Amino acid sequence: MLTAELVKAFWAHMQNEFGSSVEQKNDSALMEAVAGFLEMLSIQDKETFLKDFVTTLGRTIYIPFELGADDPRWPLWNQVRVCVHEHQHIVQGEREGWAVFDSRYLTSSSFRAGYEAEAYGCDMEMEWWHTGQIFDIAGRAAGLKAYGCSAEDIAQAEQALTIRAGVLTQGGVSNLASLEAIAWLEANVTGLRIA
Amino acid sequence: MRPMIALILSCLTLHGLLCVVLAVGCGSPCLQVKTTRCNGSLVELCGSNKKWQRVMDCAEVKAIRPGAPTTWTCAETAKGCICIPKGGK
Repeated sequence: MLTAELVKAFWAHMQNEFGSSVEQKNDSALMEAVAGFLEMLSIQDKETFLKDFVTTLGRTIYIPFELGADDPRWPLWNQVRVCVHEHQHIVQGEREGWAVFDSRYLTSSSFRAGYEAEAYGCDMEMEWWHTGQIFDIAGRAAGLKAYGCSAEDIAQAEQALTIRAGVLTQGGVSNLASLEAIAWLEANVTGLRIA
Repeated sequence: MRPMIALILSCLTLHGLLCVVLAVGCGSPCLQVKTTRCNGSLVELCGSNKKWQRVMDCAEVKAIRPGAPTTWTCAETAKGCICIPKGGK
């Protein structure tokens, strides 16, 4: 069963493995500036960005909740899942080079959909590990509208998630952040894998 | 300095702008959106921007269930190019 201490320990492990740090989003002047920038590019409105989304810039993850806190908007499992999602963005930045990753993410809704689909893949992998269920792929991909993605971008993300689901239902996981997370959770948390 | 902020500042210079244009504009072009291909062990998808985009690396797939296949490869199937277990069809 997940506890506040386990969630904190999990985040600490992932930070150590991927070289990331965590900051509170609502304390960050940088996040305020980025929110304005994203709104200017029509990627996401300012309020939604600041309150509803965890954001990763480089190796820093900005969170709108307190780690391990009993928050109805961010239950403990969601805090675990979003940790994995954001660390996959760090994997992407390291893999492609930060300049390429950042510029493509910011200026191309198609590339942005591709990167998010890969990180949504972490959500799918973690949910499947946890419950044995594949989430609603079309519904999740549709969430990319909030990222300034078009219907064509969303269809692209849906297809990418469908390809990944085909591997997952055979017991295969490919995202490095998911693999690290699952290994730690299986070693340290009992009763979390329901399926 | 945060990489994204550095990127934004770099856009203020012609050189920085060129770097951004190259990063976004380059990438392998593809003809038909939603087609897939194998690029070594990578599954790639023709994105809505008509650039090949990585979906997943079959070589990185690990089994998380007992009895699940342990090694995977990218292969062309009736469903398009996907990861399949090595030795599978």
